[in-house]
Amino acid sequence: MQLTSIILTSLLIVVLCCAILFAVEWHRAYNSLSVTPLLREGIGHIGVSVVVEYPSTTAPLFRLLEERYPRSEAIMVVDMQQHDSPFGTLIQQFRLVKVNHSHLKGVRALYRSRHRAYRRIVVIDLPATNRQYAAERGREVATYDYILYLQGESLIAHDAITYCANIIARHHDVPNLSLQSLVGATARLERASGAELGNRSNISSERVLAWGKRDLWPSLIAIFTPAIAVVASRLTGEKSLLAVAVAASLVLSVFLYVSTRVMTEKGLLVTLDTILRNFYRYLVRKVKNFNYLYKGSSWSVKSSAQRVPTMVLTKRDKTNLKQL
Amino acid sequence: MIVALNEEVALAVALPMIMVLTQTIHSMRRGYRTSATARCIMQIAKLVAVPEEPSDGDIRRLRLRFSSSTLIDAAAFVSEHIYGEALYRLSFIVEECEIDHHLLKSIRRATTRQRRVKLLAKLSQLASVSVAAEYSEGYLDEPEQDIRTYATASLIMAHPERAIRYIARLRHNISLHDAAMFAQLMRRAGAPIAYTPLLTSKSRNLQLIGLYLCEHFSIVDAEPLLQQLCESEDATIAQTALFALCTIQGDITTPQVKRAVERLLPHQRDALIRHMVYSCYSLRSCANLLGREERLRFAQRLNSYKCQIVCN
Repeated sequence: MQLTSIILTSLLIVVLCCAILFAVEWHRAYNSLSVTPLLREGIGHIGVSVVVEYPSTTAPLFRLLEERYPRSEAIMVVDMQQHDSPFGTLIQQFRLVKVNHSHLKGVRALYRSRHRAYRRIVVIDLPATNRQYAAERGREVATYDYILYLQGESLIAHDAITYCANIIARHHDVPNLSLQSLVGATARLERASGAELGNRSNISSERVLAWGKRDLWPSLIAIFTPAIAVVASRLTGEKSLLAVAVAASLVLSVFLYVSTRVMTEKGLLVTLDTILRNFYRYLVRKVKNFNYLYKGSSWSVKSSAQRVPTMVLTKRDKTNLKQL
Repeated sequence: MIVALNEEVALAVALPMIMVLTQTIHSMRRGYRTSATARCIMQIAKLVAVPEEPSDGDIRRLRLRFSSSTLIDAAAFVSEHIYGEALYRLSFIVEECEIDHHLLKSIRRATTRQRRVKLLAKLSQLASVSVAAEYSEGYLDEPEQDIRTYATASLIMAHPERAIRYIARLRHNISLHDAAMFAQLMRRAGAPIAYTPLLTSKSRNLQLIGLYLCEHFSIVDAEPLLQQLCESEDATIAQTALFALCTIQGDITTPQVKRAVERLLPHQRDALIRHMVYSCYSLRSCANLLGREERLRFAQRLNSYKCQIVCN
């Protein structure tokens, strides 16, 4: 019993220390970003491609078209046979035409617009059964060096792409940026070809980027966790656990204080939910980095999103290669 | 047991309630401040839009109704969106309401770096309508990079003719974002921008601003200078010059470019391939620069990108 309580208490203390670090880093990140002036003109060659994986509506596309940053594009990975009605009309509306897609494995069709005003739209018709290749195909098609991945119906905040480009231009020496959201859903921003550089994420470049639908039960659990801990401490008779539970509640209030500084259009429960979720991701990333640094393991690099694009050689490509 | 448990449960329920309350108060305060700034912007815009100078009564009303921080935010916002004579009327309001005086006092009192940087950014926005920007010269030798950058920005807005001198005085290497910001400020302030002295300068910061201008305005005549800069010892300058050269669709078959491409890291080469495809280069023109697999990737991308599309 004694040993169990010591282990539990030390574990909670470690988590609390990480939580304080997390809050401090977010606070710093928010402060450093708040002084970045937003430049809406193209900054050099820096551009961002946004890959939206299997949206069920056209809302994400229209939100992306509202972006004022000139060097950006929207790549929609859709299954035309499932969502024929919304995207079928889009093809006519934006005058999309089929282009060569022989090098993209599993892709039914690739569409780009003939109209100069809509050259920022790319549609990849990939069957939903090949969902795992969506990010990779998006990366192969992307025009720009940085790619922002969005899932399903996630909508990006206004000027999010402009913020991304500004941050990239500001931290250009950082090889692989990882932009995450504190109060919104996390959106990955990666270099299209930064796999060999490893998973060197930079928390100081984080910014509210995207949000999606969220369920409420994790937030309720988060709020009542201290209550459960207090009850458990009482039942087991461990006073140290009670102290830790109260401290956990205080840390949560610090989280909320930080969240109010970056509050956008979100309610309290959803905010708390996403903060906790991001804290969990932060912990996982710390453990991965620790493992990568001290054990020389490279499993964090081998994730599907960061794999080097595989070359798919057709017969025609092989003959071309010989000629080259 | 039940009585003791109730106390702790009450504590556990009370803490989230306190959090909710804190957050609500904070949101309300923030909302109030936002609406006050919006009202202040409206008032200042009305005064600026009228051809006559604002009366003493208008000025007094502004000073009484809004706090100094709200006035600073609103004046900075309005100054970014007006031109010509309206700027003179705004400068009159700034002077009469002592907005610049409050701003300088706040900068002096600011304890944190972030706060000082934010206020200096506000000063750079107000520089075209206030003489207070000259005081930011004292911050050019601060140890913090951001403070130096924004002090330079406000000086550029105050004295656009001395912009190059101020940028050359910076001791740290600026980022591409800062270069873009300086270039935009110089354009807004009406400073004469000539790319040749910037590109031939020995200062790395000026070279970066010159490269930004060449790329942004697609200055084709700058090609020989860009070719030279591709061999720069500074990796950022060499890489930016290479991308700028591709943007203006310059000759990339020269030995300088080849050497510059060889110096690039694999991920930078991949980014360059994407950029070359975007800049409409043919495979033949890039064949000598790329490896076997890179050539294939280039060809595949080119086929999927431009083939069969005729833009109108």
